[in-house]
Amino acid sequence: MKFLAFLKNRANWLSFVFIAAFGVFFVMLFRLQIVNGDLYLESSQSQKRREIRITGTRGKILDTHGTPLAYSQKAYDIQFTKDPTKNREADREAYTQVILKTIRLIRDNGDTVINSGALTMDEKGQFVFSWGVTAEDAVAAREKYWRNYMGLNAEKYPTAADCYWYLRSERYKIPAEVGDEEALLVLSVWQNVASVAYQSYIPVTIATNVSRTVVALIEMNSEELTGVNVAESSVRVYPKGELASHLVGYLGRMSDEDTIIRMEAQGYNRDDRIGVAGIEASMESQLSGSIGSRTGKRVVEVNAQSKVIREYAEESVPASSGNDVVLTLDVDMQTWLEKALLANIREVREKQEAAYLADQDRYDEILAARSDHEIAWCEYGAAVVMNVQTGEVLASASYPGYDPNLFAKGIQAEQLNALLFDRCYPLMNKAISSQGTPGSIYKMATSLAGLMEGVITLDTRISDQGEFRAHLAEGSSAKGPSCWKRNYEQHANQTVIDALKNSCNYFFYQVSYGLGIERLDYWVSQLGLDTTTGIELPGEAPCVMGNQDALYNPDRTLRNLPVLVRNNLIVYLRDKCRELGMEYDDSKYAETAEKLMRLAVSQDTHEYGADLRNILRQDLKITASGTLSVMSSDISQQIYQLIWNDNHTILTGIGQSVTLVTPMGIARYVSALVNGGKVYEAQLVDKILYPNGGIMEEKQPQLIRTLDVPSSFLAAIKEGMREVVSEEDGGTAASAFRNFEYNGQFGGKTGTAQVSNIDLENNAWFICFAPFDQPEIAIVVYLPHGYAGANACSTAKDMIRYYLEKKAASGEAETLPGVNGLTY
Amino acid sequence: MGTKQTGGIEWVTILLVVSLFAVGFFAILNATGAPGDVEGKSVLQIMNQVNWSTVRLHSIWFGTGVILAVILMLVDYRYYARLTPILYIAMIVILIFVLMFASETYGSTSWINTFFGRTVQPSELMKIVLIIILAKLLSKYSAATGTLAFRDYVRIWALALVPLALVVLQQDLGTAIVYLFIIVVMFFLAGAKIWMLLLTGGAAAGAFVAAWTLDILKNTQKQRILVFLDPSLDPSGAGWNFQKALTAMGSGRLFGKGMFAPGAMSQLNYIPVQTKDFIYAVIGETFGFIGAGLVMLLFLLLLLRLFRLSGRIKEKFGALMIGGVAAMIAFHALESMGMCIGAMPITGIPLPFISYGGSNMWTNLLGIGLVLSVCLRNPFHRDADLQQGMYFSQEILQQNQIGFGLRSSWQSIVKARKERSERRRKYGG
Repeated sequence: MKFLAFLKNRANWLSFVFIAAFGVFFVMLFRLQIVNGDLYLESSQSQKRREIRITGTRGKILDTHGTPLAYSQKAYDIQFTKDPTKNREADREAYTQVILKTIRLIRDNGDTVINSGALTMDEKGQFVFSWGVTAEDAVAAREKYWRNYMGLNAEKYPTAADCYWYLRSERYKIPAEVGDEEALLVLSVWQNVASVAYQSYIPVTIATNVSRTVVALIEMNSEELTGVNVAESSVRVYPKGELASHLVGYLGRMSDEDTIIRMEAQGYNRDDRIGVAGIEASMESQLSGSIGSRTGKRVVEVNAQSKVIREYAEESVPASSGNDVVLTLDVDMQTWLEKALLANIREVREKQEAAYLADQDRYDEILAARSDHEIAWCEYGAAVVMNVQTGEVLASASYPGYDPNLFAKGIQAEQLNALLFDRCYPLMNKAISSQGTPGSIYKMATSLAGLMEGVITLDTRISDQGEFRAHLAEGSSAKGPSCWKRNYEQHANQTVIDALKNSCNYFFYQVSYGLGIERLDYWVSQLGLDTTTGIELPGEAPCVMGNQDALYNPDRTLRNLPVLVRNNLIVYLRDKCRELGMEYDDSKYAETAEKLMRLAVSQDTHEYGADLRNILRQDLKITASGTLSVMSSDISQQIYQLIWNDNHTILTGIGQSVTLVTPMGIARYVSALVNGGKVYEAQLVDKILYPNGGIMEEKQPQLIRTLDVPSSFLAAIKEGMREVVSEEDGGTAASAFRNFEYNGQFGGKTGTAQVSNIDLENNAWFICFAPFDQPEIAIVVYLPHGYAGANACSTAKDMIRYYLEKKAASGEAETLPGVNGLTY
Repeated sequence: MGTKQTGGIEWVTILLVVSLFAVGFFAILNATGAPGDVEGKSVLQIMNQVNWSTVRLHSIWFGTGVILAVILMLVDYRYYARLTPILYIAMIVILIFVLMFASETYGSTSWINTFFGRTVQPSELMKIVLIIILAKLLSKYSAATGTLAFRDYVRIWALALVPLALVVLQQDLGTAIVYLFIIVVMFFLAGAKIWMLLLTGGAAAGAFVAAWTLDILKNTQKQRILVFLDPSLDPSGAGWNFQKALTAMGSGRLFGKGMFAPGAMSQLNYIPVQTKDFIYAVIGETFGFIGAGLVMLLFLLLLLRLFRLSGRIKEKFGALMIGGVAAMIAFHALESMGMCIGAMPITGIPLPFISYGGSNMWTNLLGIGLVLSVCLRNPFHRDADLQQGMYFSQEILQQNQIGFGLRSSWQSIVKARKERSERRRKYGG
C-alpha cells in the first residue's frame, strides 16, 4: 500500500529516471577512465607531442681556391597559425584584420608577401583561377581539390569572381575599403589555412626573408597580431651576383607533382626549395640539407595554440648540413673571361653596325625580301676555358647572365617574365646548351680523319681549283661549291698545314669527298663531337654530326629542314587537290606528306618514283597520269633535299651542313687535339667536402678514350693552328693578333659559319690553346652572329694574356730562392 | 499517519550546492591559475605564483548569487506568483528586443558577444521566469483535479512556446532544449495525462520531419542540427572539441593527474572553453574517476533530493517550482557531463554551480533560492498523504503583503527549530 502510494507520486518516477540515467553515465565514465584510460593517456601525450622537422644548412658552392659562390644565411619568415577552436564568424573577421595588418606591415617596409592563391586577377582586371598547370584534366582536378577544401560549391559559385566576392565579403569579411589586389593576398593566406584545416597547427608562411625592421615590428605588435609569429629560416646568398650565374644556378620551388613525389621519397617536404639550375640542381643531393638522411627533428610539447611549452631534448636529433661543392672554376679567371666576352660582343656589334651602314642599300634589299626583316645582331655569346690535360673547366661564360639572388629573394612575376622572354635567353647557359654550326673550326677533325684514313698524307699537296666538281656527274649543270677565297690561285700546292692556315675550303672538300661521310663521322665521333661532354650541369645539349640521321630521320621529332619540307608539301598537295576539285582534311595532307618524305630514306633512294605515284593514287585518289608525273617531279625536288648526298658530305668537311656543336664540346675537342689525343669528360666539380671541411670525394679526370693516332699528325694540326694566328705565316687570324706579345706561344683557328644570306649574321668561332709547346688550356669563344671568326679573337687574346702573364708570375715565384736557399 | 513537519531551512540542498561549488572552484583554479614552474618550490611559494583572478571572480559570482538566493528564500514564494505576468511580459519584450537588435547588426559589433553571448543572457533569467509562470498556471489549473484539462493543457503550451520560439530564433539551440525539458518535466509533474504528452511529442516530431523534408529548414540549419548530433561531421570545430575533451577526460584515469600537472591537456589549453562548457573534462583529467564520479554522485543526490522535496509538498505551486528548478539543473548536468563522456551531443551548456560564468551561476542560485523559500514555508508529507489532494495557496498574498512575507518566514524558521528540538527531546536524538 505504501509502495503503491510511492509509485503514484510522479516526482518519484523522475527520480527513477535520473537514477537510471546517472547509472548509465557512471558506467560510461568507468569505461572511459578506467577501462580505456591508458589508451586515452597515450593519445593525450601524442596529441601534445610534435616532431618538428629541422633541415640542415645547405652546403656551399666554392671555386677552386675556396671563394664562396653560394652559401646559406639565416633569415626570418613571417608565419600565421590559426587557433583550430576559433571558427566563429567573429573569429574569422578578427583574423582577417590580423592578416591584413600583417600584410600591410610587411609591404610598407619593402618586403614581399607570398601570393600562392588560386584566385588571381588577369591584365584586364578580371578574376581568374590560376592553377599553375595547363592540361585540362589537371586544371579540373586542382579546381575540384581546391573547391573541396575551401568548401565552395561549383554550382553556387561557378566563376572565379563569384568565389572571390563570396570569400571576400561573406566568409572572411574583408572590409570594403580594401583594394582587390590586397584582398587577394589576404585570401591567399586564408586559402593556405584552409588547405591545412585538418592539421591546423601547421603554420602558413606569409612572407619569407623579411627585414629586421619587419621582424621588430611584428614582435612589437604581437599582442594584437594573434597567431602571427616570426620563424627562423635560411636564404641562399650568391655573393658574386651575376658572375658564373649559369654555372652556380639557383633554387626554386618544386614545379610539378612528379617532382614533388620524387623528392618526397627522398625525405623532402613539398615546400622545400631545390636546385633548379646549374650546380645547385646537379649537385642537389650533395648540397641539400633537406634530404632525409640529413634532416633532424625537434621533439616538443606544444599547447593547443601550437606554442612550444617543453623540449624533449633527449629525443631530438640535430640536422646535419649538406656537403660543400668545390668547383674547378677559378673565380679570378671567370671574372676576366666574362669581362672580355662582354667587351668582345660590344666591339663586334659596333663593327657590324658600321659594316651595315657602309652597304645599307644592299642589306636592306635582302632584308626586305626575307621573312625576318631585322638583322640578327651580335648580342650574346659564350666562352669556355678548359684545362686540356684534365677536361676541367677553369672558366665558362655565357652572356647575358642573371642575378641568382633574385630567385633567392623570391622573384616577382614581371622580373621572371623579363628573364624568360628576353630574346637573348639570359637563363640559358650558352656554353653548354647552345648548338651552333661550327664552320672552319671543324677542319682539324676533317684533317685528322683524312690523315688517319690515308686519304691524304702529311705531304699531300692540293691546289684550289675554284669550283669543286669532283662529286658532280660529268657535264652536270649543277654548280659546285668553292672556297671563300676569291683569288683561289693563292691557295696553291697546300699541305694540310697550309690548308689549316688558309682555312681553304677546297682542300677539305676534297678530303671529305675522299673520306665519305662514314669515315669522316667515325673520327669526328672519336673526338667526342657526337655527344654531350658529361659536364655536371643540367641542360647540356649534345653535339650533332652531319649524316642522314641528323638531316632527316622520320622516326624522330622533325626539326628545321624536314619541318619546312613537310609544310611545303602540305601546301603543295592542298593546292594541287583543289585544282583537281578535291578537298581533304589538313591531317590527311600531313599524313600523305610524311609518307612521301619517308621515301627519302627508303631502301632504294634513287628509284622511288613509282612508290611516290602510288602514294598519291591511294591516298589522294589522283589518277590522271599527266598530273601524276608533274606532281611526281615537283615532289621529288622537295624530297631530294632530305637525302644525304655527296654535297652534304663535302660541306660537312668544312663544318657546315647540319653539323651542330656546343662551345663545351668544342673545348673538349681542342683539348684532345693538343693533349695527345685524350678525350676527357668535361668536369666542373673538383671535390666534395664534408661540412667540417674534410674531403669526401675528390673527382678524378674522366678519360673516355685515347686516340691511337701518330703524334706527327697531331703535331701537324698544331702547327697549322699556330700558323693561323701567325703574322709571318699569314694565317687567317694573323691580323687579329698583330703585335700581340705572346705570338708564337699559342695556336688557334677561326670559324665563320654561314647561317643566312646576310654575312653580318654569320656565327663567329675562335678556338685556341696555349702554351704552344706544352698546352695547358684550351679557349673557345662562340659569338652567334659574330660576323666573322676573327671577330671572336679578342676574348681569346685577353685570356691568353691573362693566363700566360699569371703563369710567368707564378713561375718566377716558384724559382725564387727562399731563405737559407730553400725554395717554396 | 499524516505526520507534518515544517521544512525549515533546506540544509541538505545547501550542503550539496556548496560541495559542487567547491569542486568547481578547484577545477577552475586548475584550468586558469597555472603557477608556472613549480619544481623544487614550497607550497607557499607555489600559492604565491598561482593566478587567482578567475577563481576570485568565480567566488564573487557565487557569493552574490548566494545573497540573492537568501533574499529569495526570505521572501514568501507565493508573492512571486503575483509578479509572474509582469515578469513574463517583460522578459518576452527583452528577448524580442535582443532578437531584433541582434539581427539588424548581425556580426558587426563585438559588444553583442559580450552582452548577448554567454556572460549576460536574458534567456538565462528567462528560465527562472518560465519556471515560476508554469508553476503558477499548472498549479492553478491542476490543483483541484490533480490533472489538466486538454484545453488548459493547450493554453499553457501556447504560453510556454513563446520564449521557446524566441530562443530558437536566436539560434540558441542549447537553451531551447533546456526550456523544452523544463516545460515537459513540469507538465509531467503537474499531472498532465501521458497521452497528451505523447500526442504533443508526436506532433512536434511530425512538424520537424515536415520542416526537414519540405525544406522549410535551410541547409545551414540542417547542418547545425546534423553537427549537433554527430560532431565528426565538423572535424575542425565541434569534432575537434569533442575529441580533445574525450581524450582529456579519459587520460585522467582513476586518480587524475592532479592540480597543475605539467603537460596536462587542461594546462596546455587543449580543452575547449574549459572553464565553462567543458569544465567536466577538466575535473575528469585533474581528479580522475574519483573526482568525476564524485561530481556525478553529488548531482544525483541533489536531483533526488529536489524531486523528493517536490514530491512531498502539498502546496502545488511550490512543489512544481522545485520540480522546474530540478529539471533545469538536471538537464544542464546531464548534457554538460554527458558530452564530456561521449553520451550526449555537443552544445555549449555550463555545468551548474561548477562552470565559470556569472549569469548561469546566478540563475541556478536563484532557482535554489526558490527551492529554499518553498521548503521554508511548507511541511513535508508522505506520499500517501499527497494522494489526498494538493492545493494552490494564495493566502499569503491576502494576509501578509507588507514585507513580502518576511515575518512569516521568520516565524517559519522559529517554528521549525522548535519542532526539531521537541522531536529530539521526544525521540532522544
